[in-house]
Amino acid sequence: MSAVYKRELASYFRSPVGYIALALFSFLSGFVFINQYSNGSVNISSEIMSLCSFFVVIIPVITMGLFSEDKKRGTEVLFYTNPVSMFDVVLGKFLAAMTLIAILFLNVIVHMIITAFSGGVVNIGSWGSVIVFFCLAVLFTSIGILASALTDTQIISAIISFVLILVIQLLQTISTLASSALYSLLSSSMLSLDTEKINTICSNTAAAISWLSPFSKTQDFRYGVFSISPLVYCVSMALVFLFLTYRILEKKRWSQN
Amino acid sequence: MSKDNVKTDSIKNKTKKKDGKAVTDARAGKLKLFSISSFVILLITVLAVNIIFGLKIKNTSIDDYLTYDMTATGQNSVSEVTISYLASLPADSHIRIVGLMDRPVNLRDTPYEYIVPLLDDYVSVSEGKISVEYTDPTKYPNIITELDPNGVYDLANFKGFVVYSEGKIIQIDPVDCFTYDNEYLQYGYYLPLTNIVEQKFTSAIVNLTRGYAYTAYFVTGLGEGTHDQLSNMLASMGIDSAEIQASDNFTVPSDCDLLILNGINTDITDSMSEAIKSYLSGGGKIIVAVNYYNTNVNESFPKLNVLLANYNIRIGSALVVENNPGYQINSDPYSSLVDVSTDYQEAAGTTRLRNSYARPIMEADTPYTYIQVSPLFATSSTATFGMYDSNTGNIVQSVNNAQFYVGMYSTFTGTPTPPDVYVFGTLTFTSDEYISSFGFNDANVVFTRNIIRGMLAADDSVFVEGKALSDYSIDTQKVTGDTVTVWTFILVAIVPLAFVIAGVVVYNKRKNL
Repeated sequence: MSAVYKRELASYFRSPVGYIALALFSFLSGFVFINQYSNGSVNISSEIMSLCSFFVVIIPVITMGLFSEDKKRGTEVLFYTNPVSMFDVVLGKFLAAMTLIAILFLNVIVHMIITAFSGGVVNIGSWGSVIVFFCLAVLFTSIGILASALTDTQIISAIISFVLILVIQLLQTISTLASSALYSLLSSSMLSLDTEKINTICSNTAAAISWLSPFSKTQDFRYGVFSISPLVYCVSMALVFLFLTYRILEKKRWSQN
Repeated sequence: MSKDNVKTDSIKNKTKKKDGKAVTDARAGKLKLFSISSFVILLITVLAVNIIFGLKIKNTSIDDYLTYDMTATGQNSVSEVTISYLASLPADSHIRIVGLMDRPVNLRDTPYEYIVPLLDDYVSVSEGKISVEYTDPTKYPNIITELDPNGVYDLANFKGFVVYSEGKIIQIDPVDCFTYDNEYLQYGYYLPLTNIVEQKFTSAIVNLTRGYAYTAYFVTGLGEGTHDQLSNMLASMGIDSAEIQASDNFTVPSDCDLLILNGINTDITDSMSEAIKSYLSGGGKIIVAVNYYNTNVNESFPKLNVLLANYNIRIGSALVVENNPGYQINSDPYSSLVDVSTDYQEAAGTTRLRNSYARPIMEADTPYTYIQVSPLFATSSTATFGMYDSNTGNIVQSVNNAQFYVGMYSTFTGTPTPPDVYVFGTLTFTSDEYISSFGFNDANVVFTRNIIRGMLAADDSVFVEGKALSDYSIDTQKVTGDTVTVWTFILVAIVPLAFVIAGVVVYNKRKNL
């Protein structure tokens, strides 16, 4: 695993991908930070949560080449023919991507230092947001790796992960829209349900969709309220996506076609 | 043909039936089944674990036990005061907190960011005595009649929370769950300073379950300011607030336990003077607070002084000017510290309190020995008084230095129902501006609370302190315009550009590899 990890991490900096991600993230984070700094009030939590919404762009850039590049170059055969567990391969690539994200995050650490030296506040909510940032990064990176394993074209891989992350980011909005749509449908249908029942169905539907959203689960962290279940949710769902990636690769290893 | 190719062909042949139809390799089929089933089992396990974490049993979930409020002031957790009170309620108590809206999902930078998590915590700690629900009346109109069957409250147009218990309700507007700095009240800027969400909800729960013990009446119509924060404080002490309009037919309601003239800018009428005197003669209690500011520099309150003369108190028509730099706040002679009289230091919890734009409060030389007057606060001995000169717009100071009182208390001795009369020459004990700016934990505000508790024997054992919000301001001394420009240049231009250049260099070097 460590060989795969080292190779993938080095490959980020042997190609423009790592530098593009760094340039993109440092520009976005710098812009968000300066926007607050110039107004005389810096809330690091707000900055980090804003950056989380940019995962939809950054994660596909980081993960799009993890497997699809190997497929394109034909180097994936090395994983299948070497005596190495495919899960180690998946985990090595995942950890390399996470390391790059941690390197990107150094920008925010610099902002925290500037804030502290400028007499600002870096409170417990800021550290809660850091936890949320990495939890979401773990989840979205696993989705990006899955997308990369599905195709041998980097662009298609990026589009798949972009769409999946976007849908997850919009789950709260989708839950509200679904609830409203369902309400309109049920109240105008021939089912003749009473308002209370319709309301219950709609609110339960919205709650079920919203339950899937990692953003709604982790939103209290930025206020300094830490709980275990959002961490369990993000890590366990990431495990599901990584396992799915592993099974897809295993299938190819043993496939007859 | 190599040996390997022969072997492969042999295997392929084994997978074909005699009629030539392809069949699935048994091992491949098993692997496929293993892949699908292992993934499904993992997915189900993950979902089950996550569902179990959030599953509510008796209104409590595992997640509730594994949630920690790490904030220094416990912004999102109910305090021990509230928990103790809820524990003291009968087991069959049920208090509904209804948000007349859909549950807010995007809490960021809205008042709900401190309300929604705290209400969730109320549910967690209440052992089933409190439920929180969010119901939008536009979708479910029945909620209005359910909460307010007689239509006493205008709930249809209320976008806030309703605390409901046994047919009684108290409305809580999210905006009122915070104290704000002066700019909000003066210019409409929203800069919340203190979170009083728990104070508001716990007060409502206490007053619904225990009932209001007293009623305080604010006299309105005399150019006074708002009294929302003082009402909040009274509510937290089990004292209901109501208003009486100043008029020629003024009467003090029979259920009035405390009369408050807070920040009045115009004088009372003769009939009001008589009505208040009559009220006080029956053992009434009154708080009068005035100041000397541009809204009332020409007002000397002659009728109010006639009334107060019965209690040997007089309000001066001048501005207290503190000349001792050791007493001045930010070198401002009009905003200063005052010494608390020895008898009141316990109530104040300190020896000095703040005052601002104060009028001197004096004895009226009423020659009755049964009147007992005691000063509350005094300036330094080098204070003077000043008068506003409308021609120049300046304050003209007196020559002689002296010590002035800016608050007095009066009562009677030898009577079964003595009055309680508190007169403040400043608004730094009662005004919304002051309480909003300094919060409920400020010494001046604590002093006001203590004297009210002393007058009414009000129980404020369930009083929840305000929680100061984080101030994210940076030091403007350290961060100048030039500093911002330099950091902007570095963080938004130089650093990203450096990475782009590095990327281009790497690409050019390795594109042919």
